[in-house]
Amino acid sequence: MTTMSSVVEMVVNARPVRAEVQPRTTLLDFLRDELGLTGTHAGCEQGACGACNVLLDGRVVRACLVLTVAASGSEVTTVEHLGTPDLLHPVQEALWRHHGLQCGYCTPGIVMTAVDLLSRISAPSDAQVREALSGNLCRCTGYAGMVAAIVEAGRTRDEQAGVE
Amino acid sequence: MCHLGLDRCRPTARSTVKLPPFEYVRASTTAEAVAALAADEDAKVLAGGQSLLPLMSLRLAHPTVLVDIGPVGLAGVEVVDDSSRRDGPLGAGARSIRLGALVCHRVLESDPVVAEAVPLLAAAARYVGHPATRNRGTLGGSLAHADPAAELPAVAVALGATAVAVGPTGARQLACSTLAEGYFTTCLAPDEILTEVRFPAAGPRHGAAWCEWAPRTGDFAEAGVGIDLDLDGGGAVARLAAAACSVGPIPLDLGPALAAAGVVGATSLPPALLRTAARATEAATSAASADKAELTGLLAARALAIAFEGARKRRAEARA
Repeated sequence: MTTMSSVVEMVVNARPVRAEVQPRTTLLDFLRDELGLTGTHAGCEQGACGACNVLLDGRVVRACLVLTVAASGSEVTTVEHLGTPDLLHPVQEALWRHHGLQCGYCTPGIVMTAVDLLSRISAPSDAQVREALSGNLCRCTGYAGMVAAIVEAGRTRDEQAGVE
Repeated sequence: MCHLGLDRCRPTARSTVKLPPFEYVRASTTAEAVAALAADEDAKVLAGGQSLLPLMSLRLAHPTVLVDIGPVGLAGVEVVDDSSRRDGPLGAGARSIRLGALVCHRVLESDPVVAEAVPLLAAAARYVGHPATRNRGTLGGSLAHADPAAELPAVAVALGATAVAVGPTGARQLACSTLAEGYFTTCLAPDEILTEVRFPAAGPRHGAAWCEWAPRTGDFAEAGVGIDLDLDGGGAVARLAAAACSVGPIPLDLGPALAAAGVVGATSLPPALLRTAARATEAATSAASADKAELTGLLAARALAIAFEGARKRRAEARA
């Protein structure tokens, strides 16, 4: 089927979504402009910076490098789904504790990368966290606090799992 | 437009798209995809899109139609025993691994079947982009894009992989060493699609290493070298395969240069032999600048040492 406009259906943050989009609409623009989910940030829009990282079917991807039409039928999770200001996600809580953010522009992408990493490796090492974060550019606060935070979030969860 | 029921939807949305306009074809079979490609000479295959979409965002590529082959499948990982087939594509007694063109880099990097059968592929996949791009980027996409800096085309050349391309007149098999013809240029016709890639599987006394240097982790490499070798029962290098990326328009096969340097048959790799191997690599990297050639030589020596050590350990374990 060839078309200049398609109907897509997907599940975004556990809610079903149905919309008509142009093929050239990236998942990033769809999330931000159609769904108002502006927690996912637009940085370079060419795959270099990682500010737009979201989970697509549970795996971290660049939302600027996914066509909305190609994501039809998928499940998308954005930073809005992870925690609330009163009850932060463990990764968000750890970033806050370790001063792992300053201006906050890159932070949603950092959080999604960390959540993906912790879903694959329960207690990642310093080096594993740094490798995962290599795809996320931060240009103000630096990476030391982020690495410490994500290592701690993994270790804490591992210890809690050991107690249970 | 928005059926989420959120009151934050902004009405100005449609002015913010950045990619040039194109038509989208969601192909559910290879034949459907080939027909769509044949119908428009400026149509392009969309696999993972991790190279194509940035090029379109930068307005460096303007395809009229994107043919999405995602729904076709093509993501299988299968070890094939060719030992009963004397006319097998890789010779008598060989095992091989058949990978669908849409197997993503993340699977190459983390699947234990791939790591066991083609350790060089698993080692190199870790260096392709970043976790988020490796979740979308595909093996076939990387080979068909033919970026001179890409790791996987060099691995396919080193290992003598074969690929299947499907076009309007049917399927053909081709050697991956003949795939890339120049910068971002392959021997594939505009209406042909890579559907699978087949690699010979590793032997029992096997070692592999991918070494590269890039200014930052995940950036395009200044140079990268893959080494893949087997030891014989006596611990000597019986087979050696090697290739480099990012040192010319297409992957550079380093196998002949390293064999001539005396690596094949060696039972140890003393510093003098590694230096000879580095110099032979440097001489073979003549298309690149002197700095890059020197770097490639160092990377080859490092990868050789790591691959040899790995093979020695595997041999010792097999004997224990």
